[in-house]
Amino acid sequence: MKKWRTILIILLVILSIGALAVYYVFNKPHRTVETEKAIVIKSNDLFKSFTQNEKQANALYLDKAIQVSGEVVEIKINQDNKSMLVLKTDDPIFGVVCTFTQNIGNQVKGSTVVVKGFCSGYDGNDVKLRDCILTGQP
Amino acid sequence: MKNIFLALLLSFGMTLVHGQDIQMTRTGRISFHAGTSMEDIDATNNEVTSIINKKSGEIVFNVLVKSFHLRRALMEEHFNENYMESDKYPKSIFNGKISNMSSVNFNQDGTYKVMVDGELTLHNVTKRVSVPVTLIISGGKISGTSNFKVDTQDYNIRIPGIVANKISRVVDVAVECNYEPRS
Repeated sequence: MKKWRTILIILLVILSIGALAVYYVFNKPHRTVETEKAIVIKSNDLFKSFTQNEKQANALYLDKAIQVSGEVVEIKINQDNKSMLVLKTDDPIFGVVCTFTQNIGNQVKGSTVVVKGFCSGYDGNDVKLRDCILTGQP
Repeated sequence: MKNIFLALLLSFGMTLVHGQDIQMTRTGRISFHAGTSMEDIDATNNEVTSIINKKSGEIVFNVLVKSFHLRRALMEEHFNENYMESDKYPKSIFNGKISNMSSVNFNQDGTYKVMVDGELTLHNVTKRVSVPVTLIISGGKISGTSNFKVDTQDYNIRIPGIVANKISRVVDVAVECNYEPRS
């Protein structure tokens, strides 16, 4: 009798660990840039890297955490009430587009900011970073 | 074509250098619903770039697949890795043109129903599509909305049988863009 009880308890423990593991994988949290080490780069260098050799730039930056510094040339709030900043590059129209995790309030055109986010790639016009946060002044 | 916007610009000559015929957004929204009664699968991308040329009726969308957000991190991972293969094919492009330009007057405020025909590139497969678009002109600014269906099979996106009751083969897509003239 005692032996069976031990086996039953061991089985139950294994089962609950398994169930917890499945639950964790199924509900694992989204990545956040706060906890990831970022590649540090200037907005124009990041942009140039993609416009000159997209394939190589994808290998270097796609889906990685990037900390980019640059001059703010455009400020918008998107349809989800989150901030979007465009950082200046040598291109007259296109740049590094950063969409934030929230509305970051008033920003000043012409000021230099440091932004950390995940790189979604080059869409043919701009280089885009998602889930961005401001990490202070350079 | 490395730079679609510049290509558009060049193909229409000097008048467009001033940009008065072109409106653009970088905060366009594309969402889709791929769920079934078994599972909710909704995704949203608020980082879509789109350019509309009100003289030629051309509309271009540049979408980065990795900018779609899904409720669960695991779903987002599967969406990127198993279905869209966004490491290999990070972008999706639509290049189209309003086919019935006579039914819209960009100089007069109002709501107009148009059809946009063009080529949609998704998962590295390009198909001709025709979608209904509602354009709202207000104070010189253009807004556009559209709802259409995408059959994942047309774009070589394979849904394994084991999840076929959770993921819909035909996906409902909704698009909303608020364009602004380029300053």
